[in-house]
Amino acid sequence: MLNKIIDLSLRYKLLVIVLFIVLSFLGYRSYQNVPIDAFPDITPKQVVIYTESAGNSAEDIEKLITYPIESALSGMAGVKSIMSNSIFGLSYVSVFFEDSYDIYFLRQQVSERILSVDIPNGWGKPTLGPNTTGLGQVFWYELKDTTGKKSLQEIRELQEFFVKPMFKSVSGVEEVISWGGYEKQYEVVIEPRKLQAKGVTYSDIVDALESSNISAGGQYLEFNREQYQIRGVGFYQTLDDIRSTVVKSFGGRAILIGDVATVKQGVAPRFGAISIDGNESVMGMVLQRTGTDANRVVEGLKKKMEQVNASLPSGVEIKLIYDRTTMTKKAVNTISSALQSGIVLVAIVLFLFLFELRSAFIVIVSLPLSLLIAFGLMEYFGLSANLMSLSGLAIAVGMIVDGTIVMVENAYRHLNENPTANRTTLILNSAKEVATPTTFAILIIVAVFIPLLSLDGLAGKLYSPMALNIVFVMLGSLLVALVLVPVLALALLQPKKSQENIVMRAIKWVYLPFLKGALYLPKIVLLTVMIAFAFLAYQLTLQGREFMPTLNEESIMFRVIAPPGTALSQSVETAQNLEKHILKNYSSNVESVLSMIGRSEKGETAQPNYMEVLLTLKPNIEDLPALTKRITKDVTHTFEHVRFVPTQPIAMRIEELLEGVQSELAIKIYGEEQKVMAKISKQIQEALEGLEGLEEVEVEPQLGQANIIIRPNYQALARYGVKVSEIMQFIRNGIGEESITQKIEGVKRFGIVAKLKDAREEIEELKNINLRTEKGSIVRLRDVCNIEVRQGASFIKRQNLNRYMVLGIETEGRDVASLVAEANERIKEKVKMPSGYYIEWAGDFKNMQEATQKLMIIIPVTIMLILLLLYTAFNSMKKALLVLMNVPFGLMGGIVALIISEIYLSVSAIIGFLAIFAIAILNGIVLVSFIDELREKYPEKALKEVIIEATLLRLRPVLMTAFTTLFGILPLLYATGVGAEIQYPLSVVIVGGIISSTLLTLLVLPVGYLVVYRR
Amino acid sequence: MSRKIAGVLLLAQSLWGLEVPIDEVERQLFEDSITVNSKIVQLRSAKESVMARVGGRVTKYLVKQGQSIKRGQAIAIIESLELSKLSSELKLLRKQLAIHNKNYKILKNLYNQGLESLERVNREQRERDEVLSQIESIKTQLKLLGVSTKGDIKNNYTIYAQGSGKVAEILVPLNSVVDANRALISIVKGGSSFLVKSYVPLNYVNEVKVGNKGQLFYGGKHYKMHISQILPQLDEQTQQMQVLSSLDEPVKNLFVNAYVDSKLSIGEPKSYLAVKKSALSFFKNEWVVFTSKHHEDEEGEHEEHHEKHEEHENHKAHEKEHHAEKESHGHHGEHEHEEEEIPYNLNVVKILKQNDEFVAIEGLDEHTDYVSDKSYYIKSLLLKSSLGGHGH
Repeated sequence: MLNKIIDLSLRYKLLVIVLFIVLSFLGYRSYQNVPIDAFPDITPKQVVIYTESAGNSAEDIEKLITYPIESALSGMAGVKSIMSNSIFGLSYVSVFFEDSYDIYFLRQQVSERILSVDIPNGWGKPTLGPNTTGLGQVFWYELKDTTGKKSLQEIRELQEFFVKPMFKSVSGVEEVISWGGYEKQYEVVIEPRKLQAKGVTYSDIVDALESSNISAGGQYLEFNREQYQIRGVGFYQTLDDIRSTVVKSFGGRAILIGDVATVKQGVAPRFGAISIDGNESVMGMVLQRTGTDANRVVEGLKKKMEQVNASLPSGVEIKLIYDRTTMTKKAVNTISSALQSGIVLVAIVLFLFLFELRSAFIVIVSLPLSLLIAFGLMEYFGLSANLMSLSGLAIAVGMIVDGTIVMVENAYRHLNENPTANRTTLILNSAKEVATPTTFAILIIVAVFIPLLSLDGLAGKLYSPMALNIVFVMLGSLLVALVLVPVLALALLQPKKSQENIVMRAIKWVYLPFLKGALYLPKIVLLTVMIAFAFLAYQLTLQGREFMPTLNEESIMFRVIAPPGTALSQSVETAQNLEKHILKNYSSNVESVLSMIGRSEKGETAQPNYMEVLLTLKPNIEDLPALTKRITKDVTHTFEHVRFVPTQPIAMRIEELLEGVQSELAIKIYGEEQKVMAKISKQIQEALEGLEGLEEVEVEPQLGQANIIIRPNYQALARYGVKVSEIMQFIRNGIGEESITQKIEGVKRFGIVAKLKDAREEIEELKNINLRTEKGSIVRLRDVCNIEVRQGASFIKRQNLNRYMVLGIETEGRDVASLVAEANERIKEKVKMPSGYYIEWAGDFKNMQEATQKLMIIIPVTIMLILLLLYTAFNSMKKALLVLMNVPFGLMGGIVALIISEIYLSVSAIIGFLAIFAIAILNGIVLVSFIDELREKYPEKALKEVIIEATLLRLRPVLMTAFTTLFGILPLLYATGVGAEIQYPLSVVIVGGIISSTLLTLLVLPVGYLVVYRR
Repeated sequence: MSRKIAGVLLLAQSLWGLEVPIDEVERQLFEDSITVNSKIVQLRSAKESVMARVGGRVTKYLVKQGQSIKRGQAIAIIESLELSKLSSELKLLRKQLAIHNKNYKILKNLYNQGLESLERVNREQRERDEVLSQIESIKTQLKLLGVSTKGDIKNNYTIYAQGSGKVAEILVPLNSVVDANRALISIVKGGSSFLVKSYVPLNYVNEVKVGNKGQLFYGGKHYKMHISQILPQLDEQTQQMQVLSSLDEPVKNLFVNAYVDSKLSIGEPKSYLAVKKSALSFFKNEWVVFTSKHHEDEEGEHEEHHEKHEEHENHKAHEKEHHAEKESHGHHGEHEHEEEEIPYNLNVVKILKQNDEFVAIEGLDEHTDYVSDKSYYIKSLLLKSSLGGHGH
């Protein structure tokens, strides 16, 4: 089959060239069209259901909202897990699905199920969260009045009713979230005493408001052949309309709302705030729809921003705070510049080795062509250009040319050997000669990376785009090598006097004595290598492990956590002090500080005691990690009453999303009673005290929210003839300020609340609030209810219908795996678990564990696959095994490199080892197949001599493939900038592996061959 | 051990940037009082009406509603038929009397001359006396109405106020015809006649006593008052006692039936140990106040004394605090870097009474230094360390 392809392509030369021109054109178009992203979309398929239940406590929300939703959804097809968080005023249920389902189908299913959920009236309505991924917050902006004339409430109104709809119209935008400032509402502030004086009850006022703010349509009438529409316009227009609403009337006299209450404009209770550089502000966060291109969305938003800015009132403007694409561009830049310098280096290496322009040209041309084909495939399969997929290309750069090199080299050799023969047949034969080993070599590389696609979870999502891209580009290079290269060789190559270039001669001069020496002492060499490998393999097991190196996003962010129950005003004060402190002390590095306190209106589960602080940095920061450390240390010290956790915007979202855990390593305690779980967590904390490498154990304080509990006293209620529903309405509307109706101003809507004067000023005053009941009785709240202050749940987290509590663990200077092992032992020894309570590890460690388990299957499978391919290629198990023997050679170098550079064994490094597999085997194949060839050619020669000759002859291609691969990946090793650190372990391992594999292939493989085939 | 702690504490105090105000626990007078709904009332006896006294038509009112009037001030004028009837009758009688007088004189002269019988003279005398007494009765009647009998009697009758006060209401429209018993206007007596009727929940049945002091909040000011009467009847609708208080100082522009807030003290003011309200913090289901350890450290030179003190402190301090301390000490031992101790003790207090600024508490000694504000920060620190932070 391969021969046929070569035959055909040499026959239709022009067609082939045209085909490749078209292919490269298509590839170039794809290159421009492929969506760009920082990361592959690693977030799981997820549908969020949130239910706003204003003013209600976490415990009640869990019971009445969260649990019913969870149980309705738990039986759905494809559900992987259900996590929930019930906090004050909000139920948040997040359902994770298998990745194979379509998100729109899932959302449909979820919304159907939600319909059947029975939630008590007045407790809120479940809503599906925006259709976005966890990394969907692509664009943050501040809405700012530079003149300082507009109030925060007015700016918020502008944001809500002007800016937000404008941005929402940009294609790809799913939702715009407003945060900060105040929301306007109209307040009917009732003085309970006046109710008594006028003989009106609270519910009378509620009823009056409800039944007055109504409009109606009255169809039409015909008059003089024309139609007149009839409208009843009863909506409140002005505050005076509200004031003159009749509550009760006695004949001509009437009691108006204005008689018993003051009506004014006020602000709604809020759960979050935004502070920028010491001043409260308003911001918007744009969420990108699932499956859209972040870059394009942001582009559209930026264009829209100009338009919005132009039409905002003078002085008010939109200021960009954070834009995902800057980071993306930086990350893609890092990797594409590595790719570019890889290409240049490879070209130089090629030229140095070939020392001949024409052959070098052919090889170099194959590089961009293969890459363009890969881009075409990327677009076809919907892969985005991101850190991972592009680094796949960067890794493969050196390997792409391997096939071409072998092809060109062979053709060149044949041409030089028989300069007079028919060129076409010569090239045809030379191509056919190496077609099989080349194809197998490339297929083996593909075989190494294909099993990686079966990785699931985070590792799979991260690394499969990389593996896929390597496969794409290798297939592209195969196509180029088999179809185009023979044609180009035929057209371009010229026979030249065989002259070895100086480089090669020097290498051979050094190399030959070593080879001879090795062949002289074959057993000793083999034994040494085996012992060395065993030793290094043992060393590897001792090496620390981690899941993934931290991505450097070139920004600093803090999660700031105060004790539960901290008031919003206090948090705002802390935030502003913090902002001022940072700006004052780090003015040379920090441009601006943004604090996002509590939560915005949609789908956030933070409370006022929590904030996220983002530092916008000035360009050209030299040592970001050091700066982060310095600032962290300083603020931790200066603001001792809160806890600081340094993080970065994307990293934080990822941490949060994957396990519902916001730290790298965590223990989840499952059970029923929060108090028991808190006790267990305390015990675990004590048990882990002093564990080596343990920086910090952080108990997630689920308890500690002070509640004022108003419990009806039934006897007292009976005495005064008060209904519980009256009290509860009082609490919900009168104290809790739930809006009764809405004032409609154009398209804007603002709540109208009937609140009791001073009800939320102080605990004592709350107790003394007067109620005038339907019957006319006047009672104080404390007379009919038992009121006490109790500590309750701040929030309740659940996973798969079980409550859990998180114990966050920060580690330093020790690999996670061994730490977990030791911690587990300690916990087993010291902590007694009550029945029904159990722990589970979560966070990065879990991902690592899962990935390792999967790799334990993948690696043997890969080896079997390679063996099978080798066997097919050589038709001999002996040779297949001989080539496979090369693998340890490569691994040894990788291990040494890993140990020397003091990096942990991460998934990234493991993938590096897999790449070495491929490279080592490639080297082996080239050499073994050539020794075979020579043995066949000169059957009379001694095996040792044949081996030496073959090795020397193959030295150039072996070194060439090795060096191209090495130099292709070298830029990754030295890359700086966003995203470089993710690929660092991988490149370290590959570089080490290439060096050792090449050296040992050239020395030990011949020895092995000698040992196996010596008679 | 204690010395070591002290060392660490001093260090912490100097390292720690936050300044919190410190105050001493002091005695404060707490008045036990309740704020209740009240209504301004007036006793029935404090109201009076001005009667028409004569039947007739009201032709003019000389006062306006709301006008203050004095005793004897003219109030209204009534054109009275009755009065004119009386005056013409008086005229007639007077004429008759003159005739009778003349006749009697003539008859007496005739009798003295023996021309007439005694019987005839006596009869004349009786008739004259009769007319006389009729005149007298009309005169008395007119006198009662305050109309002078001398000279001509007008039929316009002026009504004067019998007492001082304020015109509450004009009861009869102008030009309507009234009879003598009809009230024309009502007068409200001013000043102290207002009472404050407070509705007091039954829980305080034993505390509320006549003579207790109170305050009335009216028009943005407060006025002193005292309980003068507890009505025997409960307000049935609201199930509350009705307590009447008299005002001890004049209140301007007070309106009857106004609903107001008032405060009644129940029991004598007592002195309690108190802290500022801003010192309170809710911690693990208890109200707590933080006290400074610093104070003790300064005089910690005498070790014995210090230790005693410490023991004493610890005895009172809450269990949880021990935990927290033990824990952080554990850290201190294991990690070589200096551990920052929180230089404050946590004291559980019981709230006894409270007023606007202070709370009376149980659980702290007098003159103990306590954190009077920003206790939030200390609570946060404490929580942070008990949550397992190691510091950095």
